[in-house]
Amino acid sequence: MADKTAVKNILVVDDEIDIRWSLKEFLVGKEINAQVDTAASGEEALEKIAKARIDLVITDIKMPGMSGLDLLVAIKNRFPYISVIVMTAFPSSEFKREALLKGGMHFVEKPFDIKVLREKVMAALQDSEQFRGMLTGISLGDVIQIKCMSGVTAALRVTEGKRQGIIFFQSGEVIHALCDELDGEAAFYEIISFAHGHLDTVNIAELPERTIFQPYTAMLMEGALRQDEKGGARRKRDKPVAAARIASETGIDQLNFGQATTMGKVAPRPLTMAELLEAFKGVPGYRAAAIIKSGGEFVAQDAINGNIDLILVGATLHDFFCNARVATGSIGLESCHEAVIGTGGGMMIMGHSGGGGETDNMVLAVFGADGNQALGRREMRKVVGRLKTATA
Amino acid sequence: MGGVFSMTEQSAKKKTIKGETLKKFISGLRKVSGYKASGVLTFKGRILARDSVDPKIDLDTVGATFNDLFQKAHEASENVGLEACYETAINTPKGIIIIRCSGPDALAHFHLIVVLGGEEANLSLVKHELDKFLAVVMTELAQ
Repeated sequence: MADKTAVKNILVVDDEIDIRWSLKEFLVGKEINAQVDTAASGEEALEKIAKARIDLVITDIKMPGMSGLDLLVAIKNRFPYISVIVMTAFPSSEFKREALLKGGMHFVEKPFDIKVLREKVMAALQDSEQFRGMLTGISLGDVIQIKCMSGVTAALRVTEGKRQGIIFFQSGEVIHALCDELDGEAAFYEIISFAHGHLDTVNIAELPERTIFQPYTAMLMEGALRQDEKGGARRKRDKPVAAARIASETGIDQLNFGQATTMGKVAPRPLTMAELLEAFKGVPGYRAAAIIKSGGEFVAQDAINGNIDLILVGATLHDFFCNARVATGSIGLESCHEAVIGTGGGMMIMGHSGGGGETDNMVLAVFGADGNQALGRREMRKVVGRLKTATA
Repeated sequence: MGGVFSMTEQSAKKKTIKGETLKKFISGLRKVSGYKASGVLTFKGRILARDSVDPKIDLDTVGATFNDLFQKAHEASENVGLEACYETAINTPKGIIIIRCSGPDALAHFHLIVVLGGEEANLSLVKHELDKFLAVVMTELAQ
């Protein structure tokens, strides 16, 4: 672990001699126990970094030869433990995005107040005072949960091969994410779909604009569902490839995996009715769920508690829903598609897939007193949507 | 709307809701965005008071149906072991119907129905009005 009393080494990289001189003279104060060295170019900076232990690089972005962004990439590739502050007169969001994705987490706008720069230097130096090492066998979801539960304000950089994503936390909430061309929730889901990779946490002095407002628990759940869907589709896609290999090796060419194929493309297998109900299991307070056809026939059911007479309850509520559809239609509000029954000990949520005939199904989910209505309704909408697709 | 509305179906002792209280309740609801209709019914479905700003919604006709729906919801919640049902919300593409129960063990056991329509429907405010009304009625009945 780093010795907090040790003198830190800061390298200032700028082609302007005035900036190099002023930072060398005035950057270090009583709050910062450091030595400042300077370099006039990115190339010179890399030479110095290779020869001496540097804790922090403060670099201009626009320099002849190697730019500040190129230097940032080189440092992150070869010396990932070094924190970097990027100085720029062009603090556009596009630039920041590019710099963030290249590993920069600290920025200062030129012209800057020396006090502001000192604050950023202190925040950046904290990065090098954290535990460093390797932790394996832990999922990205676990790390995100730990970050949120500990109420941190930081950024988590996730690298998978050449791809990189960043998740920003503020006081334990996920507020923003970046990945490739994606921002916000879309970027978050992309990052958590990474199969493996490296993680590192960076303290940040300046937070980006908030783009994510959902609780992290709901997003992790949604991410897991998306992963399951992707995995299911991938497993099914893999089978014909395996079938082709077996066919070529064995001479058997009639292997049938029940896959619909069109012009060489394999349609993903639709989820079974029972699999559709699995989505409710992630909602707190879940007790039971069922899919009931328009005629009242149960096509799938699941209950974590054997005491629930789902057939009786389902039949009553199926009747309820059919009558509700007629009643709401009769007063000009169209047929109802969802109903929520609140009770002293929990709630029941019903959804309707509509469409008539085989596609006409009711979904029922039962939750206990600790049930979360918002999450339950959200899952209901998803399940009904998938049910429509599966039965269409 | 005026007078006194009897709630005698629930017990031998006569309980009443004052007409003035009902007026206040309905005028409060009318201020809510998306309000279309409302009604107060005994738990057996007899209409005590009703109001509608939409000519398509006649609670004299559909009030009993909604009350029956609530009874079914109540029956299902007891069967599933979730205790008594206190509220049912029925969502449609064009609106929402809220049915609230004062509680089977309350001083007066009655049902409230509110119909909201359109995207501007303010469900939270309706629920707030229902809470207020129930509190006022229970206070009156307790006196």
